[in-house]
Amino acid sequence: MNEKITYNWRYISIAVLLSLFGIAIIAQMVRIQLTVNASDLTSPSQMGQWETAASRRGLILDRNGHVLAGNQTVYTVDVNFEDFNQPGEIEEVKALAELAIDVFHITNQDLLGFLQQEPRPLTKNITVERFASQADLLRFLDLVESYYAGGIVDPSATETPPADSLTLEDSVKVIDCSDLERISCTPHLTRSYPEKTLASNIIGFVMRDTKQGQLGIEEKFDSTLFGNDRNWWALWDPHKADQAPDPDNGANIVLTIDAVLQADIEAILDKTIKKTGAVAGTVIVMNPQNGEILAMASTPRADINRYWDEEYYDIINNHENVFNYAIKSYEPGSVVKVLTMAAALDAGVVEPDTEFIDEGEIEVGGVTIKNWNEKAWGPQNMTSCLQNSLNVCLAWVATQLEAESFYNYMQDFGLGQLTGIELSGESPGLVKSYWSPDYTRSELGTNAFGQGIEITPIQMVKAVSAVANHGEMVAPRIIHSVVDDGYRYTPPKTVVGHPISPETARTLTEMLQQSLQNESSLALVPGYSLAGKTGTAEIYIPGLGYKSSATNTSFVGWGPTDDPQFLVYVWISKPSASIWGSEIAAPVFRKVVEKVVVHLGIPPDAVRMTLQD
Amino acid sequence: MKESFIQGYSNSPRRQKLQILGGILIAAVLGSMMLILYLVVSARVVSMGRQLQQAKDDIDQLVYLSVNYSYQIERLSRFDVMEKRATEMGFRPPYPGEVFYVPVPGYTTQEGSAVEMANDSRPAVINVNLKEYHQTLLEWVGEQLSALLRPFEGL
Repeated sequence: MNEKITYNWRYISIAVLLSLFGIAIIAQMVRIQLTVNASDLTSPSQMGQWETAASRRGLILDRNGHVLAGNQTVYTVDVNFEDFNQPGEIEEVKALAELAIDVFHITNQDLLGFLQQEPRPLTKNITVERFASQADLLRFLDLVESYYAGGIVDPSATETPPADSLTLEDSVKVIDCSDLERISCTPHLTRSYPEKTLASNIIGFVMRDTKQGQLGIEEKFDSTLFGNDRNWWALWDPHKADQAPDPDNGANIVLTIDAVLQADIEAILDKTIKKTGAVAGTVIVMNPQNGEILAMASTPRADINRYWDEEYYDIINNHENVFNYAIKSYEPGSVVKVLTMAAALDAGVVEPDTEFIDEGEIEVGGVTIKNWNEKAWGPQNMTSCLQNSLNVCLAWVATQLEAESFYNYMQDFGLGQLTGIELSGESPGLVKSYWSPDYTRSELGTNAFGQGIEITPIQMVKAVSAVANHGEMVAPRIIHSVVDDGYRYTPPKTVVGHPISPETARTLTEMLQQSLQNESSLALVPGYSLAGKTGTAEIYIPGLGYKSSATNTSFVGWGPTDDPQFLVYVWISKPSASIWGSEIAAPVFRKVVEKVVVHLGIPPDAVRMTLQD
Repeated sequence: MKESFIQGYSNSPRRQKLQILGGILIAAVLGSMMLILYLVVSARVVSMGRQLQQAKDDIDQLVYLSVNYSYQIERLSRFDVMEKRATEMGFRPPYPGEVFYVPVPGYTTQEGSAVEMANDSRPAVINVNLKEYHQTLLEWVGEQLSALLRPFEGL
């Protein structure tokens, strides 16, 4: 009997305990549900934080794999200005703000106003710098550490050490600020251009804030290069871990340019611009057999790592919107005579030994055309017409062709049309049609020697490739390949027409080779067979007309003539040392060819013939 | 006599109470087993989820580290740096007349880019979309049961 009573007492005790435990749980649940701020609490299934997948923008490399545009880790630095009331905390926040202003060189007036405001408002995180470099952040953290260790720190007493002086360990480590209560630093990637100004006109740049490509390759291939950062709300719930997106890296782009050659040619161009007092210029080197651009130098250039700097503003945002002179249209002058003569030879209206008596002027469409020295040159053949760059002779040649045939040939050469080169901002130029209402016959005469038309250097390179390359005209291209996720796409060589026959191309090449040799041109490189033509064009100034004091000097040439490996186009704008293409652009051509033959390993003709034998 | 004894025994109040208690205990044990099972599976999922989160964080860190190393290589191999170093070592660019060309029988220049990756070097695709992340316990038990009963289907 006693035993039964004991059992009941035990059962009742356990039941009471369990009931109390259950009631406690229910009470707690009710308490939580009835809390005033219960509705403000985030559902556990939604708790998380914003995160960004570290996606890289695609690299831009030269044809040998040298990086021209890469990525760099920078940090968003936040300072927490919340919950400070005590005197010590007020001083702490003030010191952190001063350190941030000094180290990150804060000039933004709104941010500066907030950081220097007294009394400071209670605000949560403030981003003091969005693109803090490794060196700046390390210095900031050092100063913060010194402050916490000793109290007063004078930031003006030290400067951020140059990036070169950081140890390798400091340079590469991913900085973690999580142990600091009031400071957070979040790494992210931004564009970097290790070669600074090199090929900047080709590459363009990426806006830091919007991450949008501007100008050049960066703009043209923005969607290809774009690394999608993929911001997402990273849930703390481990069951949802698989929802986090993987980094979405952009594709890499390999250019056809050779960065070493590009650097050499930019140096030649820069020296020429400085020496001749010119305002701008460009040099293009193309392989006429496949259209690959080996170098495309343009001056002035900008350090695209700091595109926002005042010193680069006019270069990038000039009134003509020109960043790359290789794709800007201009009146090229006598280099167009190559195409006029090509058309005439191909149409059969003249031959190399066709005689022309130069009387010093010719009237075409009611306008009198004169030679560059306004003199009569007497009996000439077509080779000497090119050699002496006679406007009168070439205007006569154009009249022999007649407008329809002349402009059809110019259209076949692609003048006044986009070449399709993979660069943003290419100008189509302007070549009138002979049937357009505002066309006058006099333009046939002036267009024949490159005045009154606007074409781009890259259009000239494309057109002349037909002459250099045995009648086959190739599309210029600057993209060697696109490499995405381990796969490579290489655009093929594109032949865009045969505007002239191979015989015409060979004949004209011989004529231009002969004319260069006869005039002992400054463009000649000993040992190499070269063909080419100078160009000098007066610049039209609105209201004043054409002024001979301001010219565009050009040169187009190629070699070796029997097996063309390079085609070079030079344009120097408004030189003050001389107005003539033969004195300004021709020497640049020679210097460029001297670099090209060494760099491409093209031996002198005599050696080459021996090797071929 | 024997039957009435058994009936009397099984219908005794104490025996009936014990049967109820036994039933409750069995239900509690089964419930506990289910909860333990749920706990084990949940713990496994959580553990794998945490590993995945950690792996993704590690990937990000490695990307930053890799970018930092690449950036250092790019900085150290800049043309102006290389040119300065070469000049200091006494080198200068050659002129065309200074280059000697030596014919090498059978040698042909190779055109190609060093940046192409071989197709077989592509990283294997790792499927992180595991069933465990979406399956409820009931679905899992159902699946296990159907797998268990599959050999007896059609009998």
